[in-house]
Amino acid sequence: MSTLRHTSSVDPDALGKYPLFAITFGAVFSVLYLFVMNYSWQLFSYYPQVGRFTFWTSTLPATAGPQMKWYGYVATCAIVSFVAGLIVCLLPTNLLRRVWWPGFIWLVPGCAMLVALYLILVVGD
Amino acid sequence: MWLNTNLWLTLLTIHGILAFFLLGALTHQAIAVWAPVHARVSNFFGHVRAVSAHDYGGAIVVLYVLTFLLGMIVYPDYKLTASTVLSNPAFKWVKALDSFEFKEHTLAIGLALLPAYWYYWRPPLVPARDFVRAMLTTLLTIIAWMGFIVGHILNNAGGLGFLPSH
Repeated sequence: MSTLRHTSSVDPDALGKYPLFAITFGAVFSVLYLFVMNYSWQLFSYYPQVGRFTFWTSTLPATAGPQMKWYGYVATCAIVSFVAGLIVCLLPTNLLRRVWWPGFIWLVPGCAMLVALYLILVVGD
Repeated sequence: MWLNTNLWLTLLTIHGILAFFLLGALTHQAIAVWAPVHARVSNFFGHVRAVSAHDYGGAIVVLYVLTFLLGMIVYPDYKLTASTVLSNPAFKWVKALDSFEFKEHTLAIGLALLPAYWYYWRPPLVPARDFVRAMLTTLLTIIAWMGFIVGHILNNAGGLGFLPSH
């Protein structure tokens, strides 16, 4: 493996369809997840005590036991991020070249994790 | 079904073992990325740094997905057993539940990084992608370590399959 260094050489495949999709998917998922988590936009919820699913914001009575929203969070974010990735792949390359930066794939999720920590510890999500 | 202790302890153990393998692979790769060595080495830390980082990429993707899937499967049991114990105010571990919340959210974000991670570690390794590759590895390593530590501590405190006495 070459020594890690910043390089001025241009990545020849920086705007290929797959990296465009993958980076968009990861970045959009990270940001969207914060909103989905904070505003309860889960696609569905699961109640393990009774083995039942509910969709979107529907809930069961308290006697049904704990509500698990996390699966729904992941599903919502995965679907929307997948669509966003596809849309970005369809955008013209000369438009993307002006705004694209592969570093989005680490900077955005890294910041999203810090915001998630804030939402949990301070806001109480 | 969710309270079958033997089943959930077995699945949890496998989940833990896979997480352990994932930690090893990610940690080795992260060290090799940030502190590579190219000469012959003769000490332990030199050998840790000298691993072939690019050989770990595919294995890390597979291990992360498998560990994640098993975590999704055992999560309902955690919700009905360990989480119930930990949420008891008398147990003084209520705040620890926040750490599990953080674990589940960051692990989901980590899953979303895998398509890009796989792309950046796919041979041939282009020098222009070195820094992004290193940062992706670092993020996943942090996520995996945090998830492992939180899960381990909470399980030791509350235990999946453990039913609180009423």
